[in-house]
Amino acid sequence: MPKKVLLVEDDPNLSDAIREGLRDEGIESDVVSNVQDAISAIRIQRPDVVILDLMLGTESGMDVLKAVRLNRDQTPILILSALGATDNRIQGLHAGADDYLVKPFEIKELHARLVALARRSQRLEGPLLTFGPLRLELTTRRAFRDGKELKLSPTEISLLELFIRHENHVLSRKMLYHQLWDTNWESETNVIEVHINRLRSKVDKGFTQALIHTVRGRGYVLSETAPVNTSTPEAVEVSE
Amino acid sequence: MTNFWQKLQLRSRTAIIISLFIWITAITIGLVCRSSFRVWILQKTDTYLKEDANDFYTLMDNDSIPWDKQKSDRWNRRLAIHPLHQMFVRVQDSEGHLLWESLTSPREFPFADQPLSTIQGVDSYRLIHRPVKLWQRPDGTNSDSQPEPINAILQVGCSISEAEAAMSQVDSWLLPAFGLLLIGTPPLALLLARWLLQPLKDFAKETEAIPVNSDRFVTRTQNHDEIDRLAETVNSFLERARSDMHQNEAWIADSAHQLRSPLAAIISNVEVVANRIPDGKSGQMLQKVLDECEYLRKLVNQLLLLAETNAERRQPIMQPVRWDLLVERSSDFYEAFASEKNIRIEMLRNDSCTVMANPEHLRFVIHNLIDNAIKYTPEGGHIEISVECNADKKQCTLIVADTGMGISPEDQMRIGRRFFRINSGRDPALTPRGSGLGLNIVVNIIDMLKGEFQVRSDVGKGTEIRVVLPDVSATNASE
Repeated sequence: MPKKVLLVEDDPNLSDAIREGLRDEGIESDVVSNVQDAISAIRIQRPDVVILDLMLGTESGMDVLKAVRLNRDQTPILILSALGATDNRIQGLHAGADDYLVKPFEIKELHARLVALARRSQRLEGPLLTFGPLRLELTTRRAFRDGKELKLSPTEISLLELFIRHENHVLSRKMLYHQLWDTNWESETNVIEVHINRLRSKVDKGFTQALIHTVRGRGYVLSETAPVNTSTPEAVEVSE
Repeated sequence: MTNFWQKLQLRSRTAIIISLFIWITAITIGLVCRSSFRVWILQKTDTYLKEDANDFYTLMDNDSIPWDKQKSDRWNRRLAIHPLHQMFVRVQDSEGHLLWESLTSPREFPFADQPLSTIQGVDSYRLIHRPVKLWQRPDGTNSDSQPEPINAILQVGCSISEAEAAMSQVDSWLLPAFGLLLIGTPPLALLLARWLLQPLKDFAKETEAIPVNSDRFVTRTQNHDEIDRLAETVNSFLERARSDMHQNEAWIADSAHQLRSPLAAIISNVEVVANRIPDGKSGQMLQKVLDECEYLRKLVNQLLLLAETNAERRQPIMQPVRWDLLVERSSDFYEAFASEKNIRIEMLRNDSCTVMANPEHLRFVIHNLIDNAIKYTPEGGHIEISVECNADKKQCTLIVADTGMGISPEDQMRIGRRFFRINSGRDPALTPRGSGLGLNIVVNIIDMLKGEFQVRSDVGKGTEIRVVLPDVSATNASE
């Protein structure tokens, strides 16, 4: 979990919301709104992750990115931009960004990506992911609970991987779709919901402790304890 | 009549005009030739007739031997072997009594009142008259008395039935020739019209093949003929249309970008507040705001993708993509969703093939097609997906066929238009809200990849959508 986040964003309406939203998740963030402030803040404050808007009035966030990488500074940087075309994203990632999120976005998706970025910069992952009684072998793509293999489809394995990587964080269906297909454009129907329900029945059926929970209005979470406003699987009513 | 004429194709009209022209010309030439031939034959006959009449006149006038059996026989023989057909001679005295006629004489012709040297035509005979002296003994019988000349009129004639036979021979050739001309002209004229209009047809074909969304123009021949001028007009029209379209696309992209930033601020703010408010009426209302925002977000994203797929026509981002794998993964991805609706997804065939594309765009195409198929197929139906590779044509075809409600022919025409959705027969409350841009984007993407998009549909039976893309497996084996 990142402790310090630097938000480079010139729209106060958006930066306030992001700061408040991240504070609710337990992350403090500083806000700067121009290129010069951003470069010095990164050098002096050493944030865990930087959220960088590309269009800062007349300035370009790309200048921040280039200056930071020129200093051989490997601070994880997530680009937040209204430009979502494939070439924009490729440009950003080539310039040294670690992730690219297109506006508008959900705060929980931003949060989940920040967590993943901070963790990635801290340690290298082994070929095995674990969460409580769950074990996921990344090389063979097999999943186990309490040592017993779960018969999961490739999509379900990918979903489980996403859940374990973002353990205890609520993931929205949109975010799951984006991660699964590495894209910014989702389909119109909620295909993900069916896969989650199947995954949940395979992971939790026959066990007293449920691991995948629905958070009403927000999405799904992999957690050992049920979140406060969880509904039972039968009464799932997640609006789009 | 005018209406009918206007309804005809230009080719048919040209062919009709050419046919009429050929017919009239040929008939006129034919008739003129026939008449000339006839005049020529008659003149020839008349010349001979005149010459021979002169000969006979001289012979008769100077031959003072009286007419007897011998002389009569001689004349008859002479006439029988004469080259002019049915040549005959008759002689009449000034009182109108017939003095002598040759055996060849066909019948009695009235003698002209005044002996003339012009030629007369009576039925199929030509006649000439001259005054002549005929030598006869006064009593006609006594062989001792001196012969005396009697003023008489000589009638020389011949039949032109041979000439007429020649004419009817000519007619017997002319008639079938005219018949042939009558039958043969239209197809020939059609061919000729086709050949004449071929440059126009080629031009239309070339123009048709030029997508408005490209930077191609009609090739000009630069020889300043009509087709070249037409090409110039079409090119200038294309230029104007493109500039308008680019402005339009730029406007879509700009406005979508402009929408994104405030939308981001709205969504983020509402989301934070919604998370802080415990469940209750206010929370539900905020959730509704978020739902609407989410719809707006999708719409804006799709508008941008639409603009992007148009913009990319000029500089497409392309990489080799294993289409079969993408289709298989997508089909697996949707299988669970479909089975919830009791719809079976069946992968009939999956040939390995690679296409050059932006993988995100291809993913959009496949998901959109499967998504639509599921959306428009009632419970218990099934969807067949196959990827067929044609190595000879270097093409691969994705076929998504469903047993859904089908699309009416009018709606098929409108598929791919912006904001067009098929609503007939569906309960709007049960269908997820879409933007109506999906297929438009799909068609755009396929156009950009120089592919084909085909719809075959029967109302109530189902729809089959084919996407044909160039296969580059041979050149690009890597994924």
